[in-house]
Amino acid sequence: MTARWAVPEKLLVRQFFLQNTGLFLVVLMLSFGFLSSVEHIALATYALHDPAFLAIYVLIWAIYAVYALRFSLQLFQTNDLLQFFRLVPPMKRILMLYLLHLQLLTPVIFYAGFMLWVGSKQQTTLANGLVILVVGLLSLLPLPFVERALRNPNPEQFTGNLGAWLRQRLSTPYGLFFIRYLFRDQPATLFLSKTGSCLVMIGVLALYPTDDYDIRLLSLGMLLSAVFHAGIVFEFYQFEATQLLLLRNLPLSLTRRLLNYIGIVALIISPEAVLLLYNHPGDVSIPDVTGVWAFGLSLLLLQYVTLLSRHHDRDRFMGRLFWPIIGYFLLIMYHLPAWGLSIAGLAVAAILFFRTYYRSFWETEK
Amino acid sequence: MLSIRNFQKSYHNRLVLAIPQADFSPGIHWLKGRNGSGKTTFFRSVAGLLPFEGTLVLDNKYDIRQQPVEYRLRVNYGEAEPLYPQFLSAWELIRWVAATKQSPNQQVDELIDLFGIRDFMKTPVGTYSSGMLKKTSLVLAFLGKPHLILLDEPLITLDHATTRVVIERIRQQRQQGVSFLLSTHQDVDPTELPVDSTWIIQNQTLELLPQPA
Repeated sequence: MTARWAVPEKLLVRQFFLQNTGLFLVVLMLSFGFLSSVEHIALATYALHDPAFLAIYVLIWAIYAVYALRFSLQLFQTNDLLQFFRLVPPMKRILMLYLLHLQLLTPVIFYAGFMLWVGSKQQTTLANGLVILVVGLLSLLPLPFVERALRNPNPEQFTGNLGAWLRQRLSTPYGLFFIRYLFRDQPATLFLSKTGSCLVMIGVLALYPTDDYDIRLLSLGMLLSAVFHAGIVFEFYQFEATQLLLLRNLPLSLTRRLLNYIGIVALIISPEAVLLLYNHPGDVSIPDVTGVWAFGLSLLLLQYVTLLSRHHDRDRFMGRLFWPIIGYFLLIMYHLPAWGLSIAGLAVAAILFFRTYYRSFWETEK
Repeated sequence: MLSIRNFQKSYHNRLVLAIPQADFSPGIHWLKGRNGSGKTTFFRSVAGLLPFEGTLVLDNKYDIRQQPVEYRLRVNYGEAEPLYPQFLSAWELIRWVAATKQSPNQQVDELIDLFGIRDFMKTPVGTYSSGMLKKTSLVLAFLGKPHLILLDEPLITLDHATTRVVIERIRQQRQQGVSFLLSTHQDVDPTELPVDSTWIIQNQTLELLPQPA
């Protein structure tokens, strides 16, 4: 049992959580960055008393369960090692598959447990029963689909007529390689990072006219927005280092490479530029707003060159952002202009890039 | 053709390769070594993919650090186990590499037909077999006007007909002045592919093997 358990556990459960670390970090930032524990309890209490609000929770859990199932199905259909499950006796196989997929559902189970804890205090018996029923059903959901995937391994990939038609006629320029990768392989990280970042920008733009604020509020918003992008920046670093290694063999000058990276990063934070330009407060000029956006651009680029300067795994990289954020917070509060911060940031990023690009490499775990 | 001085490569402070001095003359050079001896690390370092200590100079002119663009324009690399983004097609990769390597007109079409990838080159790499992937990497390795091509296990996963194509292409390119560093665990008939020197990577260094009389 141990040997039969260890391989699928490493392939499925660990890989799922490793590949979605960025997603979970963004979710944690969104849920615990803005809400206190008291507010979490209040929300859970409200959901347990209001069927419509509870339905939203159920919907989110169902989306997560489907997302995890999609990951699992792709793996079961394409990884030949997992086909050994067909040799396991049916009852034992179903039990193993159930326990494996239950681990993917851990975030939902923990949150449902928290709701049950709140519900037991509120004595909302019916709602508690519903939560247990929903989690129970979601835990069973993968079994028929995974069984089917095991019986139909390596299906023919159909990428759609439109996709095939476009591929015959168009070619992706290098500047869009990573953007395509984000949309195709990291949609959840992309969606949550951009949603979090854009919500912050919308929030500060809405807050600005309500009091005697100045451009520092927009700069602080951009600082927080850049933090939301840390997962995407790490994905960018990982993508280039592991899947696009041949880039380093291409005869491109360092200046050209840096300009390429600036262009890609600018594309990533272009939605924030649109938000700022179309909704900027009347007393903040376009050049000043552009300076705020360029500040964000420099922050993303600094994150990237930090990874080039010294390889970090995702967790350590995220952890290392704390003190620079505090530093930038103080610089903004001391009235350093956004343009000044952005030019200084871009200059430091450029110097670090020129010094470290050819020395950098992706280090596998020790 | 390629001069190596004081080359050192470590991973996590563990020395993998140390080559005090090695000189490759123009020609075809065969690198041998057991699995895990450091062949791929050596190839990747020479191709400019990995950082290392020491100096590499091509044709007594192009230092990998002093002239990184000129050096990379003249050194191509075909990976043993190529890994590309799954969603890109061979065509997209070829166009991109051909443009940066300043590939001559007609060369792209010629290589596509030579390695027989036209039928599948516009489908995503993720759908390729290992042989199709290897053919794609070989097309990329021959693009441009290289002076040196590094081919790490160029014959694995290829069918017999394509193996012949690769060997013939290496011969042709050699006649046109291109040098090769090859690693292969398969025996190569010296009458088909005359090798100028054989090297072995062992004990964390590179040594020239004496030529048979």
